[in-house]
Amino acid sequence: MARLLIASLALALGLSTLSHATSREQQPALRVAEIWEIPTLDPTQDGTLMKEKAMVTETLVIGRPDFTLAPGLATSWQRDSDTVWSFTLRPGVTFHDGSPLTAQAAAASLTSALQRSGTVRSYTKIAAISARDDRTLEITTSEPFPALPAALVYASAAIVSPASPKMTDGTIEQPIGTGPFKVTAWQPAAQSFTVERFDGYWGEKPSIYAITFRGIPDPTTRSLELQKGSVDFTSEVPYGDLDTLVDKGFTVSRNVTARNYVLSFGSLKDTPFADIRVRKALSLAIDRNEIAQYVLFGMGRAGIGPFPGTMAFADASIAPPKADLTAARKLLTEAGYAPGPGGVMTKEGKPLRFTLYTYAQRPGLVPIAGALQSQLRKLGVPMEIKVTTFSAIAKEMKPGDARLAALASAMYPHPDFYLRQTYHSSGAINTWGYANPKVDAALAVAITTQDEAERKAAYDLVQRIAAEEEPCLTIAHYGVNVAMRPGIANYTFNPIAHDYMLDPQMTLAR
Amino acid sequence: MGAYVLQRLALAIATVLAATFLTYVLLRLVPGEPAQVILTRVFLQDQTASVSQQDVAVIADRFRLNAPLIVQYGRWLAGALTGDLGNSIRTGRSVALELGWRLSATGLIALLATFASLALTFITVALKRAFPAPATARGFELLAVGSIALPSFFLGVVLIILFSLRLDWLPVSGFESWAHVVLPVAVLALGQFGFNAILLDDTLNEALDAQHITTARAKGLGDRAILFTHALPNALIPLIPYLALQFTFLIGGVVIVERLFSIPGLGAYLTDALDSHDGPAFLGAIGVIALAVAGANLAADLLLARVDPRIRLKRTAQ
Repeated sequence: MARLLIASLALALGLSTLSHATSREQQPALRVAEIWEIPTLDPTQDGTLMKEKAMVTETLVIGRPDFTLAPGLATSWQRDSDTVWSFTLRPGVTFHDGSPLTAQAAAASLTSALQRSGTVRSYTKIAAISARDDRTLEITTSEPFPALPAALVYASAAIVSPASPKMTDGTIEQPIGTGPFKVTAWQPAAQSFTVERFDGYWGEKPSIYAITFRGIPDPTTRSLELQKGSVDFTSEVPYGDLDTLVDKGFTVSRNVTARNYVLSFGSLKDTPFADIRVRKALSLAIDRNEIAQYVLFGMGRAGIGPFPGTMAFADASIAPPKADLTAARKLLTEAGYAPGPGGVMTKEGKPLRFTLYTYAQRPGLVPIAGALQSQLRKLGVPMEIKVTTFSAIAKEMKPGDARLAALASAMYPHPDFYLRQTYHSSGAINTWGYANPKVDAALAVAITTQDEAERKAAYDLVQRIAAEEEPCLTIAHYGVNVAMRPGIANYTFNPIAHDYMLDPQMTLAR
Repeated sequence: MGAYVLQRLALAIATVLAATFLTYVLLRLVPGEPAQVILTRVFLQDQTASVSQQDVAVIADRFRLNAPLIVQYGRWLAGALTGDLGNSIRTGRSVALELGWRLSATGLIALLATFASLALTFITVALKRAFPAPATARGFELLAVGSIALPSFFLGVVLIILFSLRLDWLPVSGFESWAHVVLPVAVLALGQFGFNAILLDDTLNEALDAQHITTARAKGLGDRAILFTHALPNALIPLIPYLALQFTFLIGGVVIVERLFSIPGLGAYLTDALDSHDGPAFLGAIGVIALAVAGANLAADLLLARVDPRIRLKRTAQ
């Protein structure tokens, strides 16, 4: 027995690849704690890691912090016909392996991304890509789609060299991009990789020499690593730790990103929520400012419209209402409800009560659910909270129940993405069955018109209807925190980030 | 004894086959056609997306989903026996390779934690018996119950704050050196020894009350001899299957500790595979865990048969 145990111990030791860090200490590297595990570097699988965090890949078009578009690897683009576009590539760009960025290489990269990633295909609606000449890329969409340049900001549509090392099934093992940093080491077993400055970069060269990334999925652990000094930069630390970190001299920023905390109903047909007065009453009973300030510790912003004011395409006239319990009660009374046994609002013998489903992956969700529970109780609407996984909610939720989720509101910087999937009668996430012909018509106008003003008016109209009719209740816009050790300067948060973004201009002092 | 070993071995193999086959069936029980589910959930990440039958056919072909279920499972099993568990849908890498990485981390930590908890068990029980006083008994109880009651994430954070931040002796998280292994092993061992200690203390009391001990005393044997040759072997018998159970729990179920210490282990792999609908990775992980469960139970059974002649004789007599 003893021999068996020793043998198995030796086996385990032999197997364990306890690698000794080969640190190149001639120039300090920035140590980043990534918030997810790092199973793959394939940009079609984890595009944001490669584009926004590691700055290895770049897209044809990029998004500015206010969600307007700017030239990326393409310097200009034009719509040749309803479905045909041409993109002129930036001259003098080389991949990390030294080969030049040509229209042929870009076409091959995008074609492979379309084959490998369904999201790239459904976001961009690209039907065909070809190189018109060395510098010009011709893209044909399957239907008229004016949001194509915005959709090309999507990180999984980044351009990588066709020579990037691949696995047998075509998964990219190590992307060869055009960005300011190139991948130099990748230890999948240890969930970590290193990027180094790419000296042939076409734009302004970064000042940081190298960055190491390690996947640390637990928020508490990231905060502790930062406090110990073994990590320089991280994001999404526990909200309760932020003040402690500031007291200890760390730089902490609270930022708003393109994600909404949304309460959606199981169904708007044959449920109490079909009545707009019931939805508005619930909405008025919710104190959004209290939630943003005290539940989210300032990590987020109260909101009722689909987009926060930081986005260029937000309708600035929409402001979150003040909580008003009296008005909420009045609306419920108008809708035929009266206090029943235990003070529960009841109509025709049926009490207004439901289960709110949510999940724990985003740190704000469960605390918000708790706050909603106590706020709605004051209205006489008891609510039970069930915390499960995102995919289980769809199966368990009944029409008379509700769900609290954090929904990405701009996977690419264009209003059409979120407004269509959320408010269009056949929108992909509109499972509650909201149908308003005015919304459908406005979205149809917005996507076909060539007139910018008319397009903006149409999207603004949809946002106002969304805030007035509230088919789903937007509670707050998502906040993300970034925490850095002292000595890191020149960092600007870009709200277009999916999680967080690094800044190539950051500087590092020991 | 030979027949007993064969019988146990057959049971172990049956366990692994049953676990993997049931998992295979359950993975297919997801509503909808499997190829379509893989396409919309894994590749499109949009369950409501409309897909062309051509795309579905490509997926069905790529993951060989067209044959009857039992044939598909047979293919998977045949591959598994040659060490080929297919490729992860998410990373494209060989599942066997990824499981090797994960198992080496988890296996090392599980093994060390089992030894450490066993050592703690013996030390605390020995101390309690060496100093028989009401205060030691109460202290023993407090330690044991505390070990069972303290949640690992809480204990883990406390240990990190103490040993990594305040004392600066150990790293916070990761799996790069021996120093990284200390805290997770400590958290697991501290969480497990309490039950073992209570169990061992109890069974020792029982064993010392037995009639043959009175006989041994009457013969004039010393306390040490009585304890080590007559009482302890009997007292260890209930502990052995329990240790096997604990070890298998450590192999498959320590997601919380793996997450807290950022250890790329098997538990985290399993939950990630499930979350991202990565069938081959999930099935492979289940297979490895089933193998570990069956292996540990087999080892415990054989060990028990060796120390307890009643088991060996009864079974072979049948």
